[in-house]
Amino acid sequence: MNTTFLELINIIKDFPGVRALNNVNLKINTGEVHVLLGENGAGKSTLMKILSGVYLPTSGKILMDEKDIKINNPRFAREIGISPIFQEMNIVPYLSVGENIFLGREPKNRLGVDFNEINKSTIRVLKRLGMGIKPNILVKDLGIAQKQMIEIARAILTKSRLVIMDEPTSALGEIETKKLFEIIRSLKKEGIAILYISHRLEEIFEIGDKVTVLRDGKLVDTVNIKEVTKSKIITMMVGRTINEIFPRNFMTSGEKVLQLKNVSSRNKLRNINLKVCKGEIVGLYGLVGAGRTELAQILFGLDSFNDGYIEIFGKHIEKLNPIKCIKIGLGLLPEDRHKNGLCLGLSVKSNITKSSLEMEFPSGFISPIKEAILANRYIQECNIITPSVNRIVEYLSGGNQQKTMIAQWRCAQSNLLIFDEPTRGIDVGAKVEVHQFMNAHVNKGNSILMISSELPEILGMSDRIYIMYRGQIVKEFIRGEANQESIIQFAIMGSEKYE
Amino acid sequence: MMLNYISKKLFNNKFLLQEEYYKKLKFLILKLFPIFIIINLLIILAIISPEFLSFTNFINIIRQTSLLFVLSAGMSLVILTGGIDLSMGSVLGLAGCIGATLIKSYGNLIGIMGAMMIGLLFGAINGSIIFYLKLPSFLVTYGTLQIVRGLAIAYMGGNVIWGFNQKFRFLGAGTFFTIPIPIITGFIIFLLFYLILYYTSFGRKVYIVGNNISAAIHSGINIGKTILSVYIIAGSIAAFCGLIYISRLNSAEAGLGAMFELDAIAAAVVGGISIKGGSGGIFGTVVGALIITLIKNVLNLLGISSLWQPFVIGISIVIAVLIDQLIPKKGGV
Amino acid sequence: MNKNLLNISLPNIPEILYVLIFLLIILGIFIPEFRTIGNILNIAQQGAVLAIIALGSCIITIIGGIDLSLGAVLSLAGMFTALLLKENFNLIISLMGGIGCGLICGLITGIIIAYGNVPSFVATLGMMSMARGISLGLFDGATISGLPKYFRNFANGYIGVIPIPIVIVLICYVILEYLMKREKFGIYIYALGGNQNAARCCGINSKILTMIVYTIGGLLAGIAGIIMVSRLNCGHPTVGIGYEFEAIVAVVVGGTPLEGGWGSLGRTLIGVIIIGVLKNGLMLLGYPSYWQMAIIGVGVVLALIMANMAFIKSKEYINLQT
Repeated sequence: MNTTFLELINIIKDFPGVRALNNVNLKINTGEVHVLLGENGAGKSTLMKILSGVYLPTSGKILMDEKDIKINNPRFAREIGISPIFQEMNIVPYLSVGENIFLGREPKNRLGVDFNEINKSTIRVLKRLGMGIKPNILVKDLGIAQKQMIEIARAILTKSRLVIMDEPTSALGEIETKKLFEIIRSLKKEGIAILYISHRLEEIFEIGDKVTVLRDGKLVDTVNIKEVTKSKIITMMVGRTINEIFPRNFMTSGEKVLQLKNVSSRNKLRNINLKVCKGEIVGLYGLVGAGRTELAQILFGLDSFNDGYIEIFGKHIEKLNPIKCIKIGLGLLPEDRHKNGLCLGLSVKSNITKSSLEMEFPSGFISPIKEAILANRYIQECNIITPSVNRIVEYLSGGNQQKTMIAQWRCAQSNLLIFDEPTRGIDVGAKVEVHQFMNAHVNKGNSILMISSELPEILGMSDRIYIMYRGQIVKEFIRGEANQESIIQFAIMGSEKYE
Repeated sequence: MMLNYISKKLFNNKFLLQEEYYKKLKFLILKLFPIFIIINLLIILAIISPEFLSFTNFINIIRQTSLLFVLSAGMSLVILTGGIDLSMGSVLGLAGCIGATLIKSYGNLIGIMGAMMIGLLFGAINGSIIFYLKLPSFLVTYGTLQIVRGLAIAYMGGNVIWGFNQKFRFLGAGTFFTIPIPIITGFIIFLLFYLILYYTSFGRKVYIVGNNISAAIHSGINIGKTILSVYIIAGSIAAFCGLIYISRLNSAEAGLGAMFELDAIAAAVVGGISIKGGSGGIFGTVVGALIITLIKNVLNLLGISSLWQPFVIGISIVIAVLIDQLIPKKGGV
Repeated sequence: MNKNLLNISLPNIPEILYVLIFLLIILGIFIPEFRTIGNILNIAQQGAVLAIIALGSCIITIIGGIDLSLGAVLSLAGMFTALLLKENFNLIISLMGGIGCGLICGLITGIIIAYGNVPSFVATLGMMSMARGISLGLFDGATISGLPKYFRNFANGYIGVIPIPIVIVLICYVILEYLMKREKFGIYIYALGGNQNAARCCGINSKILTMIVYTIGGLLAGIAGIIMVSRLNCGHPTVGIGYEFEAIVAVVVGGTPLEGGWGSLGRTLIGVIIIGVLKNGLMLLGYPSYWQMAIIGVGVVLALIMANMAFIKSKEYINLQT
């Protein structure tokens, strides 16, 4: 009989300005495959990181075998039997299969490390998993499926009680997925629990026992898979009442400013056909791994594509790069503003003007007065709250940092803006301001391609919506045609067929 | 007292939160630290040797500081982009030697041009290998250091060149209304770098590249141009210093400039240029150069042989970088 | 600055050995003096010191670090041993003194890097300066000579037909190879260099490991310094300048990638031999020593380009040359 061995009680996790998890309760039983489901940003990854010791909860309890525990670091998590299998594998490329499996726990004999023992145990455990890899080949030569097996083997040998799998099948083919499921079933028989994070409904229904749905950081419900239908799950994922009013004056749009025809890239994208017209906000929705950020990178010249063509403002440009893009009026606000968007140690002023240096100061000399006036103009326009233009951007709130990025591209006079997650990690007030800005931007005759994981935002702000699924565009909605459920269906399954 | 005034000013600013106040206070203390050190060093110097506080000595110190500053300015520019140029000393030496022989054979103008070309050449080589081959800057410039030094030794063949004409000697040993030319040169270079760093887009790009190179790329900044340029400038500065030195010493030999880059690095990091890049100002380099010069003078007056200097310089670098870890990255632009 | 984007292509054992054999053949044919036993022994003698340093440098490179102070530490440790010998200390004590000196320098370096979070090139640059400074300052720039006669036999003596320094190299190699291949140490080193996160998650203490690695580097530099003193018959404050660079060249020629994660002590030794052979060949051809390093440096850059280590196919840098 399955017993609850791991329980999360009233877990709250706050980040600056954002509550990622809001009173989440979760019970995990032995030998069960517990699916964690939710859109991007629902809190799945945060929950997983709390369980694996990467984050500490802001408040709440974790009980293991009914004892209160604190999972302070990843090492401790492994010691108590929680083995996470992340997408970036915890694998050392130039060590052998056996060495990786026994990393940190090498058996010893008189001569040093007992490689014999390692090899024997490795062969044994891999046999159980149905794999015949030689234990002494280097891991770097293995495929993703096999690397996963190594992590699973490690979990088994460390007597794990919970294996957390984060989107394990995203890089696997059908056969490998079937094999993985067999292994999961055998793990279940040994009483090992699996926390399975995925948005692939067919798989969830095939392998899952229970499913916990998260939405906007809150627990919606935990149900038995057998007692629920796919459509019910989808409603649980997105069934929120949208209270927000999005500031949009929808107007008739003009000619095409961006056109992609049959664009494919070497690593992900297939046959992308997409257009953006003057005066439009085009929404791009997709779950993690769908290829949205890859598309943004290609548009801005940060990555190359090998098929099809791209026309920006009616012009086809050879060998796109950011410098050329900015010159023709295209701007990109990256998803991770700390890593790619802003220079945190420099002033607001410098960050605003950093894409416009050639344009505003063609002689190469910067006039501090002119720069200050310029920066102030955009600080006012974007309503950035800062005591002065010289304030170091690191000290600004998330919302003001985002507005600084917006100001940067306003200053660069970009007409077509690619907004990757425009309101991620910012407070409600700033969110509204960003939306107002977007509306004002397109009302002036400009355009926006908005990549977003927030369904209300996509539905509320877009003139048209494209849905991406596994590197392709699977559906185009016109405003009014879509609702949360239909969007999610396409994002999860690539089509609208389900029972 | 000064701290009280500052804290009052901070409290009055309602935009500052409590934790930020402490951050700012810590930052101010760390910023004032160098001046504190300078004052202490001056006091030590005065105690050890009262004649020290004479005008000639004062000019001496300023002159040494200026020489060190010029080299360190070039180094600071490279460090600001997040890199380092370990070859500056060797380039200084080679440029000085080649300049010397050219001056002797073809006159001042050719000599100066020849030396500067050397600086430009090796700066370009450094920058190209670092940017196009994506190799770490310390490794590439360390290799250049060895290679250029070898070239200098080969070129000079053990000889020493000495005795330059009066006109050329003006550069290093002349005075202008009793102010030594090196001081004026240092001042001009300071103004130049101040102008470049704070009043040109190139200077701005240096800070942006050093602070967050990915953001620089995403903002459409041509990082290749920026990176190549700073190494070329550093090489040119090294060559220029080579000319100043042979003019001052009135001689040139293959070992000229050995380990000078260490002093330059020390002046830069002690003066607040962060080794991580994107943080620090050129005035800090002046302060750093002054501190290093004072330290050297203190060692001298204490009778400690100049052979100990590398040790002290080495420790200063390590301490300065350790302290730098405590300060959050701040550009000042 | 933390993206690791080098495209690695490692030469296999056959390739590097072929290069060496090829070199030996070419030089043997065209330079008659090359083939003499005396010359071979010469190469061996000179290479021994570099080999020991290169072994340490290899391990440091595997964890993704660098040590610019090895040459200076070599010199300092040697001076210390020479000093002890001159003051008529026991041979064993003098040797321990030198090795201990190297060990302490390495330990300090390791602490600064591991606990001070200082980038390795700056920390070791500082240490290089400090060690060089102590060598020069403590003894006023003088060499320490007048060492007991028997000490010369150390570096110039033989065990059977093999010169003692080579024996020492082999002993160091065997011990280190054992640590790398049979003990947890080696596994952890590769883990730290290959995937630091994985290493930490599996309970490997990266700070202590880093400290140990630099300490080993210092210790080996100490041993090398002692051999050097014996060969020169004096403690010399400016010996060893550039050895850390030659060591890195040997490591790279031996196929170890600069950003770490993999490395082979054996191939590094082959790299040392190749450098030694090349330098010797150039010397016999009449090129003075300062040319040799320059040529080898250029050669390394070419080798890096050919081995594809130097070009990055990174999406951020594509198309940025406008």
